[in-house]
Amino acid sequence: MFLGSIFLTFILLLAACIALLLKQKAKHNNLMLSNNIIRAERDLLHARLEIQDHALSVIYDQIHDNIGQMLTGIQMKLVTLGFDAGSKRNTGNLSMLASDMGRSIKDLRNLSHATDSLMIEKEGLLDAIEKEIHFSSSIYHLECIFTCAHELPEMSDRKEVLLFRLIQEMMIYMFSRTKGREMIIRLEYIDDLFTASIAENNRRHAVSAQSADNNEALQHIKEKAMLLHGRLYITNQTGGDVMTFISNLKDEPTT
Amino acid sequence: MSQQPKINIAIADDHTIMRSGLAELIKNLGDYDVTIQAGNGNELLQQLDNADKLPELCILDINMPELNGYETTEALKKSYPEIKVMALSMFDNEFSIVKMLRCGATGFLHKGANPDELSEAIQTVLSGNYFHTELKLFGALKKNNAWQTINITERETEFLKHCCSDLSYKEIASLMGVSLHTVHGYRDILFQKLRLKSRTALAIYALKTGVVTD
Repeated sequence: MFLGSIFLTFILLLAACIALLLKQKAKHNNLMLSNNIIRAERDLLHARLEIQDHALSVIYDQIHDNIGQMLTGIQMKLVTLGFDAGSKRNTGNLSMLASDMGRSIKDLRNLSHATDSLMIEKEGLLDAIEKEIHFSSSIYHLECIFTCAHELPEMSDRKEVLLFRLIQEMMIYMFSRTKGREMIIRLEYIDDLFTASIAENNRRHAVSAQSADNNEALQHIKEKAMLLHGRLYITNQTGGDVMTFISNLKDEPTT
Repeated sequence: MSQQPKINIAIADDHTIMRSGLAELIKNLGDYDVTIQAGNGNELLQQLDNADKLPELCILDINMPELNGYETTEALKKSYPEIKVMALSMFDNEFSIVKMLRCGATGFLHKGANPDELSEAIQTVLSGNYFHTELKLFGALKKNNAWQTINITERETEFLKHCCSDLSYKEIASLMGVSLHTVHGYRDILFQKLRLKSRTALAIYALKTGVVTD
């Protein structure tokens, strides 16, 4: 009987060990599966970014080769017609049309700056952001104040382009939704932490920030934030929203 | 009463609508005649070789097939050094413009510039001066001889020389052994001292004052 109870205890112990091992293995498999899913998601994001970049490059070429050239040719024809218009009124009207066309060509030129990744790499992050702010503020009729209080860390061209695209989309999101007239765009790099914030009406961050995880409209921005190993926050306040991106920027964007 | 002969101008641009529109606009300015129109640099050089009378000014698109704006400008400076060259571009890509200036162009104009600006650009380049919209401010500075008293340090001069290349600011920082932040500082100080706003204008200042020679 004594031997029987020992044997039974041994069997129970063995069963417990096997159960524990199986549980560990299942946990390990789940972890592997989660990692594979995350890796696949990041690969997909990266592929989508490359497609987006390629599409923007095509847009840049089209603006340069076709649309811009055609509009410029038409503008010149309008000016030339104005010289032979016959009446002062017609000359004035044609001149005004040519002038409006010139403004559109200028907007097209400014728009194209932000589509060409090679140019963003060449210009550098800060200059590219300044140009983008200048263009977007004229489109949305906003007063913008841009500050970069600290020297930013050295970044690869790829990281700079991705960071530019993130900040560009943050600006488009905030500028298109603001009810205010003034936006503050601030870049900071303190204690190895990079922060990009876009605030309405000169408001600063709220202490308790809520994650942007649940807002579907921010999907593209969240994806880029993820690739840059950062997080995105939006604080909603009466009179002003603040969108903030925070990352240590140490790691290269995920491939 | 004899009329003053018109000044001959050549245009090279691979976009036909653009080229013909510009030619018509220039003719309507009154004092000019567009005697050569070419679709690329090679065509332009061939037409120049066969021309009875050479133009005084060539207006070149930067991006052209077969022989682009840079190569064409260099070829013109070699074979026809008396002909002035003005660059024309859809985009105001500073690196391209500076490269054209280093090749020998003395003016830059956006496609879509208004007739007054076009006329001013042509007159300025034909008179032997550099043209860029921003340089009107510099012109005012030079009139008062104020530019001669501008004090530029050795490091700022070194940075100015690098501005006349197609190196990015990051590459310049690496060459000068300083941070990008420092290079931006040099740039901003020069913008302030010279009352200029772009790298193109800095490059023209450097070429005009002999800090950099062709």
